Amino acid sequence: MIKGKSILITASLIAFILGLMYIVAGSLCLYNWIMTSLINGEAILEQLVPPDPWLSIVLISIGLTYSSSAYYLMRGNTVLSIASILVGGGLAIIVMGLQVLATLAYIADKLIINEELRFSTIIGNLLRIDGILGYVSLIPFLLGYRFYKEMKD
Amino acid sequence: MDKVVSKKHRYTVAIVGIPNVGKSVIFNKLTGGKAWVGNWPGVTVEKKVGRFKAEELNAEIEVVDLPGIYSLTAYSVDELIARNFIIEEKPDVVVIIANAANLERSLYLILSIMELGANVVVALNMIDIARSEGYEILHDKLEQVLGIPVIPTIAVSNVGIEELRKSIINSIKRKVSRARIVSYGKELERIISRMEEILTKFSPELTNRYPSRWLVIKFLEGDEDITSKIRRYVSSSVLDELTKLKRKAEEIVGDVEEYVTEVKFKKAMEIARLVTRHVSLTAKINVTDILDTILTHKVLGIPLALSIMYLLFRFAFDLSAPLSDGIDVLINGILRDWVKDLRFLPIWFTSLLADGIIAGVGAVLVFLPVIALFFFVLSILEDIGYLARLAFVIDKILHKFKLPGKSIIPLIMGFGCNVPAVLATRAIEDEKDRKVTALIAPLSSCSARLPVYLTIAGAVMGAYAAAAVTSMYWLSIILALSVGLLFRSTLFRGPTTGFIMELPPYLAPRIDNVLMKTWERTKHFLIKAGTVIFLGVVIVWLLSVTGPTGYLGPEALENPGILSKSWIGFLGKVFSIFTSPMGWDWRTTAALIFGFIAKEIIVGSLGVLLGTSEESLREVLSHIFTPLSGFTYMVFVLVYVPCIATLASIRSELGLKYAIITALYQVILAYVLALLISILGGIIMG
Amino acid sequence: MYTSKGGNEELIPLAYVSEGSLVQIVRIVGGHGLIRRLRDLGLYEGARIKVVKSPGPGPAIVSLIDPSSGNVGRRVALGFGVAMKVLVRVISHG
Repeated sequence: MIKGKSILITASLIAFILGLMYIVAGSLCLYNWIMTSLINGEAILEQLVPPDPWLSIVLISIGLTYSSSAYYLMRGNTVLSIASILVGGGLAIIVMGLQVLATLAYIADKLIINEELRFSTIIGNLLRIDGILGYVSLIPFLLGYRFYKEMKD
Repeated sequence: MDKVVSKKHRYTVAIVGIPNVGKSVIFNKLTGGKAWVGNWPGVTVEKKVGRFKAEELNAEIEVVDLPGIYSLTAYSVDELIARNFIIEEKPDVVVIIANAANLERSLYLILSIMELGANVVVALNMIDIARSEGYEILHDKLEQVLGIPVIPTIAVSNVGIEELRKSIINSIKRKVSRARIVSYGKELERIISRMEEILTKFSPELTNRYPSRWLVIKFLEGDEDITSKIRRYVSSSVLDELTKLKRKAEEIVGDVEEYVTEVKFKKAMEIARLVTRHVSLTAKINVTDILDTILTHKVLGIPLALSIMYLLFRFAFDLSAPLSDGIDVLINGILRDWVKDLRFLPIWFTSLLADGIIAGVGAVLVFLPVIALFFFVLSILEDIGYLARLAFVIDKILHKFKLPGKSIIPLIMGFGCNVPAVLATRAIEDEKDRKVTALIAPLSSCSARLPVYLTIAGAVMGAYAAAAVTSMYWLSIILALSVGLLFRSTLFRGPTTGFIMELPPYLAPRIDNVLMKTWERTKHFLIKAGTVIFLGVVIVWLLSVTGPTGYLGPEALENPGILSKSWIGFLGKVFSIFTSPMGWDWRTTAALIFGFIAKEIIVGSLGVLLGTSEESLREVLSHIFTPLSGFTYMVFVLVYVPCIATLASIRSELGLKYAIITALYQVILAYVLALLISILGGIIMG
Repeated sequence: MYTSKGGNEELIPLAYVSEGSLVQIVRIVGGHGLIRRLRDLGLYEGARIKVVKSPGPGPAIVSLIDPSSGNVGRRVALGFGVAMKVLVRVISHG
């Protein structure tokens, strides 16, 4: 049980940090959108963090869910702690997967309509913030999943 | 030589089952929803009769809906009606609808009806509910044990209906009767056989009409109806003999009726236990509980719901792009050019084919991937159980607009295609809620409107293009909710029903179920393309190549000068009287007429009306629209009349009156909004 | 608080029951439509249910308890208004 608990603590900690990063990323997303669409200002790191208000909602939601894992752990609720990691992580990974699939679709699309493939666009898509944070999310998610499996038995 | 006219055979099928088992749904699915409704003679119990064709037998099958009953005693009118129909009218097949989630009670009825000697087919309905409660019914085994066909169905989703139909037809061809399915013990059975012998010998009229075993058992039970029938047909000495045997039976088992019921019920439970397999439910419950705490959390619930919706839309739109383009290249490029090259056909015909049908229907088919993917993801969300949580979480917000949480599902479906969205309102129980939701569903900005937004915004809105398109979706939501509130406060006033919804445990998605649901919803879109739009584009083509002066020829579609003389041009000019305050000319107005058929063809028709190919369309549009008039046009396209297919669905669900109301209110709303925006915009912009 | 006739049972609306409690439905105050819909989902007079989430903002969630096995089964979500119409007696507090 001690080993299990330490997995949970590690996962929760990573989730907490990731959660903060997601919230920051989401806020940046929102900022960029306000800057480019509403006010005629300059966006920050636009390649990395697109000016998409919906994405910002998603990123912040994931961030909040991740962070709540540490909160529940401190309150002694291991069940909810693990649930937060799994839900947050699951969502993060799906979002990342979506980016990857969307990039593949983009490639297929350009091939079909016979337009040129911009390599930089492809890399840019894969390395967007929701992609990067998503790849990292695999860690706490897998850790959390391992813990969940142990708990079941 | 005499002419032989083949006459259609007629067969009768009765549908029966315990109450609340989905009997009327199956009745509707089999008969196409059309039924003759009346009363059973002499009583106030409703009788429904429908029919369906069976080409395999060159026959027409009459379907009679019997009342919902638990058993076949003589104590209730419903039971007497059902029982008498089966033994007097002797239907060719008796379909018993069983509830998979309450198998014992259904089995009791099934056994009772089988004892009547009827030719039975069992429809095992609600297998999805049973599954979500942790049971799996082994229908093959049940078929084996009972010796009659057992078809698993989920009537509300159309699962198994076709197999049921086929099974009914097969059973007409090969009748099966297993009246001895329940055995009442060696001694009692001996008495029963003896009594059967006597009855058959001394009153063959009776035993030719009714099953002898059943007559005997009913007599032993003391059934009033049967006892008086027997008294009428036999002599008093025979009656004495039978009564003596009855007393002997009572010595052995006591009250025969009680005994028979007990034996039959035990047998029902035994069979149920034999064919039911339990799937562990507690583990699923725990996972569900845990997930729900997060997903329906007071704070996290809504943002998470929004995130999932975001995923739904992105998945559908982004991933379908290559497929859509593929279809576009195939149909609008290759196929259309190929048809145009068929020089041996008259030009008007190739024009009708290429510019009319292929271009029109093709424009719609290009959307097939988006819609299919959209409904695919939606069906997954539904199958895992998330949609119920979505309704739950959103209910708070929708309640403020006097709408039920359940409305969110048709409204979201509407963003894919309005047609299945209207049909989805069936799931809303309260009638007023259902009507209002169906009326506002067309305000969801369906995927067909998006190209109009993208094209025009891209042409005239410059840097604000993306914001303009997004604002359309926001406007769609705001309008839907506001109009819903308006309707609910005026025309459809009534108490808002409380939120009552079952939250099924989260389950892993079942691929066959998901694919089937996806197909169900996408099918409506395809049917729309194949029928309404097909006809519509033909009509539009006709109106384009002819005019008040006569036939103009297919050149009209290549030359706007000629086109302006056609009927479309005429109509466009007439309506542009009303649309000039918005800054639109007859051409852009005429495109809106095309849009009445299906919004997918607006962009294409703009191309035709402006005399450009799609590539340079943006260029041309930027000269015709100002940012304000373009934006107004987008708003108009969002709100005005739903496409014909959607109106048709509203008509079939709610009736002609509501379809007209929808068309009217939307046109008026669109016009008023467009005017307002034009005027306000004009003032603001100087 | 509502009191049932002839007893010192205290009935309270489901809406006021705390999370985790086990209760038994004693009466449903409503029209036929409401009673039927609730009954179809397993909420009838005499049924025992567990309160998973109490309404506050948002609907309540209850779990039905299978009378024969005692297993916790289906879950049903009920709006606040509906939860006010379901009168229960508390078997054990959450």
